[in-house]
Amino acid sequence: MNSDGTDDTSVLELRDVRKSFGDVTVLDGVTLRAAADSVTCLLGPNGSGKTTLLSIVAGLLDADGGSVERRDDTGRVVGYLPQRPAFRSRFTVQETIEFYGRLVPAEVDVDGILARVGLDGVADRRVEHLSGGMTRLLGLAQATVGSPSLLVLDEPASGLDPQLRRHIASVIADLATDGTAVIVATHDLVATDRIADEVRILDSGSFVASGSPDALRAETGTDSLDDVLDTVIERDETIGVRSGIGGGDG
Amino acid sequence: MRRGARIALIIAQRAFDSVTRSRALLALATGYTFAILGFAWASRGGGYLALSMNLLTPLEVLVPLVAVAVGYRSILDDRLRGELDVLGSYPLAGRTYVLGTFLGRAAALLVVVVVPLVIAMGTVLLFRIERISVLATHATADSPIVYLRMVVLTAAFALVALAIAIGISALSASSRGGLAVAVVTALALVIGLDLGVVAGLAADVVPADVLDVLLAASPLSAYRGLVFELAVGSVAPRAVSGGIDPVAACGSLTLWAVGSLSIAADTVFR
Repeated sequence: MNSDGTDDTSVLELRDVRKSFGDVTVLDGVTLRAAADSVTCLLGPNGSGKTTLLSIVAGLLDADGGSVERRDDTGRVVGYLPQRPAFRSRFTVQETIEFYGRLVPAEVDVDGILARVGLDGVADRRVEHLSGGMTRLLGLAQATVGSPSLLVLDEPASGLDPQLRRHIASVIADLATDGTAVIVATHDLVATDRIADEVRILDSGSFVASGSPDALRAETGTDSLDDVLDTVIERDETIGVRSGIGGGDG
Repeated sequence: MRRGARIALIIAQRAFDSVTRSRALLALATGYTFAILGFAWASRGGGYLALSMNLLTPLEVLVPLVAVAVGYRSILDDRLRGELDVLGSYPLAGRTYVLGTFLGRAAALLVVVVVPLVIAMGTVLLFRIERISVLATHATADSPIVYLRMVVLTAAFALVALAIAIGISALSASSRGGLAVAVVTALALVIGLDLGVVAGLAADVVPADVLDVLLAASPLSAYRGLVFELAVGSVAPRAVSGGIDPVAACGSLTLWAVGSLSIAADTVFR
């Protein structure tokens, strides 16, 4: 452990991060650490601040207060998958990943990246002819370009069929290797149970519970993450902590 | 090659591919070409000077419109798709992205704008009545150089208009807003600034002795003035003058281009 409370496996450290949009407080003192080779799932109702938090983690949005530290040891620090990934039309899947690959200093194995997410069979297909699930997979492939040590994925499986959700979950679990930390905002509790090393439950801009899925179930005396969410968020509301704030979908 | 320059060329290649794979560009290029060749046909037999004069006014209107059409969605589309957020997660500076976007779109725009003008020279070669037109003095012989100077100035004007369109694209937050601002800007480029100077002159707000500098502040007047001063004026009678200070006009066009691209670079990833 280092003197500042971090250790060498730490890829991301957020301390007391705050963010407001006008009079609306979206994040209120959020502290989060992500370690290498781990998957952290952010759960919480719509409007709880998940997307804002991910935007700050990805460096796309500045926090109003607190500190954000990312490990900076590669050309690309953070790989980012937005909630609704979309790509420039009239380019093929292969061309799209090749383009992103040329933006990073390291050599990029385009075929390997596509094979990893299962898009190697449609490499020559134009992106506008991909299904929603395939587009999400292309977004996931794009996020891994340059082997960033931190992957930030915003609802990677929302709106997809169960088979594709399982596939994406297994791809995400596979990505949390070789020193990579993955932070996922999701509503998919089945996938969360499968892949999460740590679950963070965000409600009204603050974490209200955290731990492994098993630990959370044990702590709340429930059998499923669904019940954990109900219990934790209900408990939060009953003690009168913030409610109904936040922006966007997250 | 430095990494920044290499990345700018990668962005430029993609911007060029994006715009040239679009059917809209083909339609735009076709319409513009027919318009230019139509005006050129109307002035057939008059020589390069007549061709330059006859094309100048249509070009003043068409070039800003074509440039805005090529450039106004360049960054806005990436923003609306969320691709700017994705690009923001790469080691990519805003100025590199904007420069690359400008270079790629500029290459396509120059092909669209310049090729029909070069083809239009054919109307002079095919239908010329006299091999050499002499106007007022022995020093004013009609020449393709006159026309080519105008083509070069037109290309420069197109690049400035494109830079402004890209600046607007970077500042726009929505498709509808981007279109509205682009249309207003195109109108301002075409007539607005000139009208403002004329109105100021009529109201005695603008002193007549600084008129040449003020007119140069408008990209359109700067372009028109430079065409008169550096192309048409070199062979036409003295009465045909641009009414502007050429140095101020060049400075104005440079400022418009650099300023617009700087604003775009500063705002694109915010």
